[in-house]
Amino acid sequence: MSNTPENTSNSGTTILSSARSGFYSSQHMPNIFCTPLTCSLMSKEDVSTVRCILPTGGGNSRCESPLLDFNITPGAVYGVLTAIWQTILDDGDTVIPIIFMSDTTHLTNFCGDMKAWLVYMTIGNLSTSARMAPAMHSILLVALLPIPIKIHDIPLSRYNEQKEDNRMILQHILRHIMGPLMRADCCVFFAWCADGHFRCCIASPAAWIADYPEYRDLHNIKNGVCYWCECPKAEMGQLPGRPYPIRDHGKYRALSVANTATANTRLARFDVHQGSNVFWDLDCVASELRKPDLLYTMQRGMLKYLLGWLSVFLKKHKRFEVFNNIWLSVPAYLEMAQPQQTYEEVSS
Amino acid sequence: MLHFLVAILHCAQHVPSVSQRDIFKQAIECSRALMEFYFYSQYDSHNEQTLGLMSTALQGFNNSKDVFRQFVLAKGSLRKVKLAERS
Repeated sequence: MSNTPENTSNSGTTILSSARSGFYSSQHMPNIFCTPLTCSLMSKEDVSTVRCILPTGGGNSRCESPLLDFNITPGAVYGVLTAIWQTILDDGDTVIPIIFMSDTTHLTNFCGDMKAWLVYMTIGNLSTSARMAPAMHSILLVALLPIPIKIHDIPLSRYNEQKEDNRMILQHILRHIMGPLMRADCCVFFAWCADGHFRCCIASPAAWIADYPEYRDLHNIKNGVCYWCECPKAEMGQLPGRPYPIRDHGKYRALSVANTATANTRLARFDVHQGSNVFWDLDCVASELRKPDLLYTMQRGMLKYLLGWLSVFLKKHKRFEVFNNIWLSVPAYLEMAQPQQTYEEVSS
Repeated sequence: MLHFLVAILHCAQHVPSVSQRDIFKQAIECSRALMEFYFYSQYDSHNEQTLGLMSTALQGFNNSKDVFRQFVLAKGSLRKVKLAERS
């Protein structure tokens, strides 16, 4: 599905309208509309409410609030705005931003399958305290994907074929996981909320919190390029004089569907792999789904490189021993304890 | 300890030789710019002034990062050699 509003809104609007008409035609509210998922969604004491005034359709009295009332966390607002505008919402409709989280996890040192890729899911309507409480079970494990072992003792051509196969299998599995979110009739449903009202709830993928290797695989791009803009790989690391264009996944999908030599050349120029991407079929803007893990990207990752460079630099100029001695001689200060290990031991 | 990293680096590079003087100065400038960017990025909120300071720190890092570039090139070259051996 393309990311353009005219293409994405049609199916969702049709299903939404038919679902609403069926809801109003019934005189009683059957309990079949009550799902356990949304029973805790609308507790307004512990969620931050974002009110948006949008042009609405016909008025109805399912919700007492005259405004469109989105109970979503502020961090999820940006990613879900596109879905809001692409779908005609009514007074009281509730957007449920689906937040995915994934990271590679080291499992064991005692066998070959050492790493796995965990995919977790939660919703943005929960407060931070509720989401992080283990007893609430608000974060669900939806997939545990094994990471294939890198076989290095094979020719490069066979190695590249294996990588291509692994990439296609991953996209196929992600498509299987995301299947319900691709169907508009599954994304729009009525639920009995905590304040006693039935509301039309619309689930939409809003964010995917991950590190760079996961984003690279999710967005189907080549290694070492930006998943946000079309900065050429040769210019990565340079301070850009002007901003590069944002990645247009609708264009990539059109080129992938065309599957001609010219289209494939253009895809390669954008550093995008051939084949489909699961995000193209979701009601979202793929390039806006990213929510980078800032702790690692901006802090741990950056510092790791800087400290690594400094180690090599000081060793080359025979100053590393002096550096370690000064490091150990720094006295305790306020909450900072005196270092007991050399810098090399700490960083390793 | 990261607050004192640049100071420790400065002390470790005292009394440089004539050939090392510019390189050490550039390494300190690069480290300081990156650490400033790191600490600015931890602010809870930003305004035009702090964003300008972050841009200045990033510009300073880009101006002086060539002192560490040789180590990055060495890593890339090693990987290319491994790939060539495999093919």
